[in-house]
Amino acid sequence: MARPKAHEWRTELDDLMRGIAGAFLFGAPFLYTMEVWWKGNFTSPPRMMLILAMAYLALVLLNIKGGFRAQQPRGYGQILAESVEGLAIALFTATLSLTLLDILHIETGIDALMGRLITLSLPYAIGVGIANNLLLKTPDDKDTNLAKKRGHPWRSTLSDAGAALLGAIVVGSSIAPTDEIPMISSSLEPTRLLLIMASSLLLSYVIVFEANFGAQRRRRSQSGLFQSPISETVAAYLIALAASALMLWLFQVIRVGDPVNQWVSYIIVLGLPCTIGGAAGRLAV
Amino acid sequence: MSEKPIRNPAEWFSLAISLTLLSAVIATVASLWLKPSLKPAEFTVEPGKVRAANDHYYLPVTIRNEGDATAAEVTVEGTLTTTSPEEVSTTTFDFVPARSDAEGVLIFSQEPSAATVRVVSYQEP
Repeated sequence: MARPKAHEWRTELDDLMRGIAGAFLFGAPFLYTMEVWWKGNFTSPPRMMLILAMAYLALVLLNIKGGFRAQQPRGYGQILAESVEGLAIALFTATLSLTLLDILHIETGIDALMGRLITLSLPYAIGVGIANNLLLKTPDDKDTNLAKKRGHPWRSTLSDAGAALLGAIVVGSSIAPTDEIPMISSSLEPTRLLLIMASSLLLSYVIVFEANFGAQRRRRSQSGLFQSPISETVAAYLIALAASALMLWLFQVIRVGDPVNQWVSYIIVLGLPCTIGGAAGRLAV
Repeated sequence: MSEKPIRNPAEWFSLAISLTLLSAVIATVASLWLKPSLKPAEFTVEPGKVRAANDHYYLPVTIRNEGDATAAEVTVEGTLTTTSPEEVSTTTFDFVPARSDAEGVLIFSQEPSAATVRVVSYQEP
């Protein structure tokens, strides 16, 4: 009797993690937009309610075909309940990510605090609503991939590395030239940079190995340098950091003569969305 | 995975947590909405401890918006009248949300402990 119960909790955790991953994947460009935080400063309570209602409505519509649970919604009651959970995930993730980047403080005041996290929760809610479409593989995909993956070790390493790089560029390139990178970095202490690094690694791991319930075993058995989950996560993070450094340099956000701590903090701050993109990219291969 | 017609305990658990979280958020927004006072932005400015570096004096100022409305482009001016001519230093805060604090630094060439600091202007966003 104990086994199916443990299995249920495990599936539930996978589903919730997939929701969080979807929120980050779609919401990262919004998180790195200062206007989103600023609009939150003067969002009136009626407008906050409207945003919450719109996020809920969007989730209901998206949950009919998408959602974040591997098991599709069974009925209207189910869809409404999952939309409640989706909105809660969006709000929770918005609070967590804004706190991580030091945009929410206690001194911010309750009006601005609620305004910022509710404004950001709208794109996050959409991300939760399309989490399955972004992250979940159907059994069909899995089989064709399995055949493709069992190639030469070098070949699968290269294809994973290329996917991580491509994903990092797709998500990171629109964020790299913006003022948000210096702005966020300037207020961060070294401990917080470490926290951002830890979160990047954890999110990457969760997106590829946890949230993708079912395809997990396949990835663990594949060949190549990216073979164990830990080494793949670390290698993909290094690729994301390299892509982040390259883009920052190309867009002249950092220059060769700039101080080392500036390089490090900018690269780590941009590294977070790059890692998320890279993880999604590796899933797509 | 077997199809289950009803939610399992784990799903009920996360629905319960979600409902709690969501009702807390909605209750907070509702309380902000129903709160009758709508005081416009009002500021208090507190000078901090002076720090000397490179022949200049750095005077930190903490500004607090006591009102219920957010203010933008809040300009704080510090005036030091003990010198001749008097020395003025200003700084601008992009946003000071309702009932929140923000910190800035004014820089003077003379010891500014006696300086008066005040908000000279702001914009309504």
